[in-house]
Amino acid sequence: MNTKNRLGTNISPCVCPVGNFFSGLFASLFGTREMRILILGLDGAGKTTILYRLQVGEVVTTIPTIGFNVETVTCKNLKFQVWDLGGQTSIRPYWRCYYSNTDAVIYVVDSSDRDRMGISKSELVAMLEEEELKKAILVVFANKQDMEQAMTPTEVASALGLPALKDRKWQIFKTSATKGTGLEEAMDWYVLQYYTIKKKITSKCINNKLNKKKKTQIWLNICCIERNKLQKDNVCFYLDHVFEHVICSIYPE
Amino acid sequence: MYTLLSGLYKYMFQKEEYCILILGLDNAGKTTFLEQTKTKFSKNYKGMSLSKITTTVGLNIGTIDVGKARLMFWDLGGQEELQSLWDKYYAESHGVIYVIDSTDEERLSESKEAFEKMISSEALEGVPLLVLANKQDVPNCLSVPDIKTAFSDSAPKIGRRDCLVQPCTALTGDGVNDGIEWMVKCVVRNIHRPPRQKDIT
Repeated sequence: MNTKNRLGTNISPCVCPVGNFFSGLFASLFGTREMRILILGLDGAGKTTILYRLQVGEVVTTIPTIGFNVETVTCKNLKFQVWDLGGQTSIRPYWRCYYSNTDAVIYVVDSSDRDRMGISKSELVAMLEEEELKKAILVVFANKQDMEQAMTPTEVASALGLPALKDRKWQIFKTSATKGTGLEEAMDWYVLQYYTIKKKITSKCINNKLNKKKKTQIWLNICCIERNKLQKDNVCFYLDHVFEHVICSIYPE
Repeated sequence: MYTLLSGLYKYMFQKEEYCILILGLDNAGKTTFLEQTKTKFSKNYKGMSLSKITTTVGLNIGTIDVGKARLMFWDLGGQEELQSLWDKYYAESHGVIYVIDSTDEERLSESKEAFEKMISSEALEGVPLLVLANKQDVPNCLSVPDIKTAFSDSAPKIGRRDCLVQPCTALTGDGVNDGIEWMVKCVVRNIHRPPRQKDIT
């Protein structure tokens, strides 16, 4: 199969995506909403490993994500909907399809990859310029700290140009997804932030009607799920075109 | 006529924005001070519980309005290796609040070193300095005269800048109002650093 042309999702067997979809719909109709977190970063930074480390607390063997993984992560009795998007060059332009209603962005950086720090920086800068992410909290994970040649969090922060961000709250954590260090502190910090923004969100959701964006979002999700089912039947090649067409028609740019 | 009207509009709706840096060693109480300030100066702000605040490794921001001035705070992490990021903010700041943990006598010299390094920077010339002797509620803490003595040989470096040492307890909010009001007065009258103009939208 041509992996370069694949655009879909690898949803792990431990969740029921349809169930997720309905509970999501239910929640959006009746006022409460799960906090939505995006995990972004270049390919090979460790995003999927972080997601599953947060969810099941184990290191899972991952393959490069083409598309996205979604999981609900429970932390201190709070539920977060965490989206892990693929980081390869060809699919980075699709990140923007997921920006709406995002409360926080976890930006994962491979601290040992000094050569690609510049690319990581330009992707981050481009991402933060998006209007839909104006209110989102930025959390940077300086990942792979267990590697010997890893840069320190301060070095990573300077390399990413974080000090140039003057009107956004940001925090950097040193993490090692395989060893599991640093993730807990990061989530503790995030939970604390959650309480300060929660008030605004609940007031926003009181008379919630599904707006157009949300509808397309849900539709997109359905497309992904359907596509996943059909993957086995070898028709995904055709479906890729349909899927890409759908994205292009919803987001014309 | 247009000038008159636009002038009136500006007078009515424009705020002068000042950027204030909050610096100091780790565990001095910078984030607590910022949260306390936000709670005191903005009406509908319900801050996070102060006891739960953890180490900052990055940037916290806060904006408050005092009269015609709008203060924007940048609260930076104070750990030693993060201090190298401080100078990136100097050029754009209008005032500096330096927080000292009055209970930590051992690290007072370390704090002084960081302080001297900061005020030696050319980018901070002529910027008002507010030194907060924090955690004054703890018995047997260093008093303001103690801290003034310890920092006395930094005086030549401070030079002609406005400088005030203010006792304060960020946790309860004592001294916070006085400090902020002094800061507002100083940044407004400081002609060397004109404010950023910002429309209220």
